Amino acid sequence: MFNSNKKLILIDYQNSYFYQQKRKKLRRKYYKIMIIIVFLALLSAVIVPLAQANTDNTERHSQINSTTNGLIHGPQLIFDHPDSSQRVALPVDLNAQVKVSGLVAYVNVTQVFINPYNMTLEGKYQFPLPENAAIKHLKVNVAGTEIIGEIMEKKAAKARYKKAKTQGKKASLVQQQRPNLFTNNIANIPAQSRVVVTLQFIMPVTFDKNQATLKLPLAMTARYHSDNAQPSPAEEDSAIIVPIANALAKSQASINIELNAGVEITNIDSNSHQIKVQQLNHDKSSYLITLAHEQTLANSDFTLSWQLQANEKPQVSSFTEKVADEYFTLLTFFPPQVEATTNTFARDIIFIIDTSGSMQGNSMTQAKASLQQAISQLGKNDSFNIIAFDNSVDLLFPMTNMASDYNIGQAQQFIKNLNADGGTEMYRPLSQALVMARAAQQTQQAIRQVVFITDGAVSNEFELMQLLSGAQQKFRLFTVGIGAAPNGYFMKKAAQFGRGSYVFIQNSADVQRQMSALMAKINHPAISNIELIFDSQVHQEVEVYPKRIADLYLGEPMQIAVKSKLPITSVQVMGNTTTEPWYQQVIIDDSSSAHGISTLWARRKIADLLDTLVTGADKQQVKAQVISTSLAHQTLSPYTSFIAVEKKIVPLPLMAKNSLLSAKSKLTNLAKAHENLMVAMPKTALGWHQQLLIGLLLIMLAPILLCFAARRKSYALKPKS
Amino acid sequence: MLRLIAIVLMLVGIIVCAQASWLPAKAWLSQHLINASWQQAMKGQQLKQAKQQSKSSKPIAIKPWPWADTFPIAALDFQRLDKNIVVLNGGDPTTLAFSAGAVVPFNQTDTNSPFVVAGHRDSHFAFLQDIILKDVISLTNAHGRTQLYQVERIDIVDASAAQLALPADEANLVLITCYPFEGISDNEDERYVITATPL
Repeated sequence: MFNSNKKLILIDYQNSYFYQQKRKKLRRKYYKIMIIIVFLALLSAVIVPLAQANTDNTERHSQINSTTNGLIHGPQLIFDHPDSSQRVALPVDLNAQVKVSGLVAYVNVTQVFINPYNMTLEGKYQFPLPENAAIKHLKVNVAGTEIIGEIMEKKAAKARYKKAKTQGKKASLVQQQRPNLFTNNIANIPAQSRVVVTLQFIMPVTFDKNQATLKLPLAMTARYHSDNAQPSPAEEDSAIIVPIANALAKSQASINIELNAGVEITNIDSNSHQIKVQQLNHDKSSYLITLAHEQTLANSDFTLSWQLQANEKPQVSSFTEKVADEYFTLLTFFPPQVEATTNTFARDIIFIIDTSGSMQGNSMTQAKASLQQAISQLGKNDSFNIIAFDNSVDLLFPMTNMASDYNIGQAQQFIKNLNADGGTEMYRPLSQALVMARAAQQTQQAIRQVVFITDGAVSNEFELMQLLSGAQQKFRLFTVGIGAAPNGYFMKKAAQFGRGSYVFIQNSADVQRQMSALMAKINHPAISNIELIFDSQVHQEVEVYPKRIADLYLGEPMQIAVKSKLPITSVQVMGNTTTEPWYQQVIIDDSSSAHGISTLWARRKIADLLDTLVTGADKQQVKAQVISTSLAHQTLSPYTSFIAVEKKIVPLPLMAKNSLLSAKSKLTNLAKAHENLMVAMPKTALGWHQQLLIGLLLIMLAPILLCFAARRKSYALKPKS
Repeated sequence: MLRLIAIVLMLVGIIVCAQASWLPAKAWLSQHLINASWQQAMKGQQLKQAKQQSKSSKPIAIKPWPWADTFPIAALDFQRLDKNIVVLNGGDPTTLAFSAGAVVPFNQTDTNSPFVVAGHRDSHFAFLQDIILKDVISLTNAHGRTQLYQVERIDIVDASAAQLALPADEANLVLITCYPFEGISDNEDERYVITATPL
C-alpha cells in the first residue's frame, strides 16, 4: 500500500505538466549548449587554418623581401657575407651607352660595385633583363681576373661546365622566382676592391599608340654623401669605405642615348629623369640624349619615350650594319596614324572553335563569350562561318555566308548550343576551313581570315603545321588561346605559318577586351600582300626574314631583316591598302651605322631554321646551320649556351697568396643565361574544403532555426501570467 | 514558416556537402581506374619489348575509362613519403580533377626539356607540403624506364603576375600545386613549385 502509493505519486509527478515543462526546458538548455559548442568548434575549424595560412604567408613574404631587398629592378651584387645571410649592393657607378635604331636598342652598361668588407667574399651578380632582350656580351673584371661570357656550342659549354661543377651547386631556399633574371656568380672578390661588370644586350623598344618607349632597368645607389631619405643598405656600406668611395665619387651615373628613330619624331621625354636632348640631323629623326645634370639613378628605372610624327601614309625606315663583309639591313614599317576609317577590306572570316572535353568549364564559357563578341562585330561586307569540332566536325553553314542579321542570329543560336565534350581532332576542321567555298555575294578580293579559338591541347602539332605550311598562302590564321594552360608554342607557330598573330586570354574578365581588340585589329590591315623587290643584279644573295611577310596592321609596326653580300641602296616595297595599290621606294644610305641588326637577323634565321624541322628538314643539317649562325652572331639558340668563363689577364708574379688565388680560379665559375620557357600554371585547387564547410554551416543553421521556432511556439502557448 | 526555412537550409546544406565530397570521392575513385590502366600499359610494354627486343617502340596509351580525354603517361614515386601517383597527360581542369597532369607542352619524358606536373593541393598533391629539399623522386615513363630526381629548389610563385619561367635546356622535374596548403578557396594566386634535377 505504502509502495503503491509512492509509486502512484511518482508516476503522477513525472507526467505532470510541471515536470514536462521542466524537462523540456532542460532539454532545450542542453540543446542550446550543444549547438553553441558545435558552432564554436566549427568556427575555430574554419578560422584557425585561415589565420595560420595568413601568418605563414606574411612570414614567408617578409623572408622573401629581406633576401631580395625589393631592388630587383636594377643591377646588383649579392654578397655571400656571414653576418646577414646575403648583402645586397647596388652599383656605385653606372654608365650606359644606348643606340636606338628604329625599334631596336643596343645597350652597353658598365657598372662598378664595391666589396666594402674586410674579407674576401663571393658574390652573385644579378641583372633583370628586359623582356625579349638578348645578351650579347658579358665581362666581369675583378681583382686582376676577367670573366668573359660568350656563346658556345652546348657540348663544349657542358664540358667546361662539368669541369667547374666540382664547386658544387647550392640548393636555394624558398624564394620568389622572377623570369628573365640574368645571374652570374663571381668568386673571390678581395676585401675593399672593385668589381666592374660590362654587359651588352639588345632589347626591343615597345610601341603603343604611336609612342615608342624604352625602359632601362638601371637603378643604382645614391652617392654616399647625398641626403637620400631612405638610405639603402649598400649606401650605409659605402660609408664604411670612404677612401674608395671618395675616389669614385667624382664619377657619376651617365646615360648616353643615340636615338635614331628612322622617321620624324617629336616629344622626346623621360618621366623618370631630367634629360638633355640634342638634335643630330635636320630631318628630326636623330637625337643625342643625356642626363640633364649630375644626378644618380637612385632606385628607379630610366624610361624614355618619343612620339612619332602623325602621318597618313605608311612609312618605312631603314638601318644597316656591316659585320664581316656582310651587310644587314633592317626595314621598319610604321603603319599610318589614321583613325579607323570607313574603308575596310571585305573579309571572309571562318571561326573555328574547339569544343573538346579539355575545354570543359570555364574555358568553354570564355570561348563562347569571345565568339559571341566577335560575331557581333562583323560588318555588312563580311561573310563568315563557324566550325565547331571535337572528334567530329560541326558546321554552321556549308560555305561562308554574308553577315546579315538573320545569319548572325542563327550563329548566336548555334554558339549557345555548343557543348564541350569528346576528343580533339583539329586536322579536319582546319583543312576544311582552308578550302571552304566563299559566299556567292562576296567579292574576289575579300581576305580569307581564319580565327581559331582553342586551348591547343593537341598531340599531332607537326601534322597540323605541315598542313598549314603546305597550304596556299591566300589566308591569314589568327589563334586565340584560352584557359589556364593553352599550348602556346603550337598556337604561336601556327599563327606564324598562317601570317597572322596569336592572342592569349587567361582571365575570363579579359575576354571582351582582348577579343574586341583582335577583331578591331584584323578589321583594319593597313597594308596587305606586302612584297619587297631588290635590285636583282646587285644582290643575288639576299636573305630576308621573316620569309612570310605578314600584313601591316594599324598601331603595330613591323620589322624585316635582310642580309646581303653587297650594300643595298634601295628597295621597292609594294602592297595593297584598302583603296589602292601602295608603292614606295626606300633609299638606304649606310651613313648612319646601327648596332644589333645582325643579331636580330640571326635570331629570325634561327627561328626559321628550326621551323623547317617541322616540314621534314634533316635534323643534323639544321643543327649545324643553327650552331654556325648562333656562334657567328653570338645569339642564343637551342643548341648553344651562354657561359661565362674566368680568364686571368696577366698572372702577377710572386706571392703565395697569388698561387692560392690562381688555384681557386681554376674552379672556373660560370653561369648560363637560359633560354626560358614559359609555363602557364593551371588552377591547382579543387576548393572542396570551402564548399564542405559552407554545407556544414547550412546544416548547423537549421537546428538553430528550429530551436527558435520551438521557443516562439512555447511563448505563444504559455498562459499569460 | 521558420521550420520550413530550416528544413530547406538543411536540405541545401546536405546537397552542398554531397557535392563537395563528390570532388575528392571522384579523385579517389578515378585513381583506381587510372592505376589499373597504367599497370596494363606497363605490362603491355614489357611484353612488347620482350617480343621486339627493341626499346624504341611507341608507348602504349590506354584510356582509364572509355570516354576519357587523356591517358596515363608516367608514374611518380616518393619513397620517403611512401606515396605514388600516376600522372595523366594534359594540365586542363578536367584532367586535374582525376589525377595529377603533365602540362602541355612539357609532357615529354626522355627529352632535354623539363617535365612539368600539376596537381590539386587538396587531393592528389596534398602531400607535396611534406616534401623537403634533397628528397628523391622516381619517375617511370611510358616506356617503363625509371629516372631518379632530387629536389633542389622549392619556390613560391605568384601565378597571377606572370607565367613560370623554366630553363629550356634542363631536364628537370617540376611539380606545381596551389599555395598555401591550408587555404580553403579554389582561387589561389600563389603556386608551390618544386624543382627536382635528374640524378
